Amino acid sequence: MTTDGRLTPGFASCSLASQAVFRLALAALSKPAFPFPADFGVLFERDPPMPATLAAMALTLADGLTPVWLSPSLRAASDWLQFHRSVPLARTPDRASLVFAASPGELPPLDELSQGTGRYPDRSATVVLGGVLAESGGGVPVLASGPGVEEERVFEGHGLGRDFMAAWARNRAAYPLGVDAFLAGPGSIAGLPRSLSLNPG
Amino acid sequence: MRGQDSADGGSGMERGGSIREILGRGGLDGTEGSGGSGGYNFAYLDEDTKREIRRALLKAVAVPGYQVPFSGREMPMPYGWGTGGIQVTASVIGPGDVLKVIDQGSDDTTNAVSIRNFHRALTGVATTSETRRATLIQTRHRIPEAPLREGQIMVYQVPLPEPMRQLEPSELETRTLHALNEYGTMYLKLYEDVARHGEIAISYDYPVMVAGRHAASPSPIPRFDNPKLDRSPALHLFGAGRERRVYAIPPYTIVKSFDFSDHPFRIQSWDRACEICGSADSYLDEIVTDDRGGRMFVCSDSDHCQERVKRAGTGESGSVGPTATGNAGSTPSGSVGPAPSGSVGRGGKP
Repeated sequence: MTTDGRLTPGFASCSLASQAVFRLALAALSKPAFPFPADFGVLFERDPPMPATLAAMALTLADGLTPVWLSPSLRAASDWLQFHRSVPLARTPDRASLVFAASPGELPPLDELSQGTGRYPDRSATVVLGGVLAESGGGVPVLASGPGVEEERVFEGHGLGRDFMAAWARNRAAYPLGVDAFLAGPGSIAGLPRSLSLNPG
Repeated sequence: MRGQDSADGGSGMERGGSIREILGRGGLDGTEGSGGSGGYNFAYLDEDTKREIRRALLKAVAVPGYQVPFSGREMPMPYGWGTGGIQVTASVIGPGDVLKVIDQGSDDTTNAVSIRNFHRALTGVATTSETRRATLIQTRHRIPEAPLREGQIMVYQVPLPEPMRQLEPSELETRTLHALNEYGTMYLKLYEDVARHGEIAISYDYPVMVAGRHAASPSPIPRFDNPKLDRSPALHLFGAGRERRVYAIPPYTIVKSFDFSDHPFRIQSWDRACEICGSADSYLDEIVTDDRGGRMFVCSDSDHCQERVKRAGTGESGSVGPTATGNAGSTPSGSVGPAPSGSVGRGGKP
């Protein structure tokens, strides 16, 4: 962490690590609601000041063009992120194009985030949500369907509760507007594009 | 090693299963910009450009068929030579990839060779002409005949990404039409074709509806290839360099060609077979062989053609080759093949 006032390095190899993280994110979004192993820790020589999966996604996606909102327990990493990627920090989640939340409890309501516009639905926020384990129980199992899903299949919910599933249903109903999300580890990554339907089984 | 894999996902993925697989054999040991062409960044583009294109590609996958603007860069070649496809490939490619580049189905035309050499020089990736071996296929105007698989990525070079541009010149207006899901003009265009020609006469760049919501251009592939996009296991990325747009068709996405119930979409067919491999169900190119009107029809997909010749060669010898069935013109399709043997022709399809 940065408690000693010193910044830790970013990726050990910026170009190759960014490419590897992006390809995994692309694969995850193309095969939604499916956990891909994401051993992002190997990309750093020293522990970054936020969970490695979130840190890797931040360094891969964020830069000076993307206002970033960090949830309260990630704010200690804001200096680190600004140093490595010159990101503007958004004061409120609705102004961010990238929203990082350490856990579902710190996730702002999805419908308060940037939804995109009718002519430009791509101008919506991308959520990167940490603290959701692929194998953690307690979530609401739902049926996932949509582009990228070959056959409707059960998604164990990754510890996400009913509130999230209800919020996601509203997000899906606004298609082609709406946010896209990544469930980022630790240790795995799953993509939830706005085109994905998550219905109670 | 920190960050142990804790998820059991990834099974069945050919590639893209883990960071180590994506990084390839070299891991992170390769120095920055280790493409091999001194002074250039890995894959030519700078990191900021790649990051922006990557963000656009993720949004493109999330809204299948919708055109995401990006700030296309000048590339060391003119517009129209695949600058959009090259930028997409450069943003996606990694050291673990195996790259195939085709132009009109062929691996050895000028454009395909140049682009393949460009990527190889700037990334050091392995290249192949075999569709099955490739993880990343950059293409101009064709989808390979061999079935694509999960984990493969197709990158298309697109001249005109907007399917309604010929009908509505204003970008603001076409964006509004997409937003309102208003595609009446598309049907009007098809109707005019039917009224004038008795059928829908679009032979390439035949517009499609992606995931039931966005009309999109499949790029100038022949309409013969349109059905290959429907529920394809591969990821399809489209890059338009001059128009500065990217869009995508994710795997297993429903892609429907525009048509009418009484004039259904159909693909081209030929009443003859490839004169090299005998394939009666692949897309054929007409090759002019002399200046006295001589011509022959051969597979446009050179890898597909060579694979079939190779397989036939190991099976029954001497049965393949340009056969002298020059009068095959009026024979119904399917019955034509190299005359002496039944080992090639339609039976060759798995």
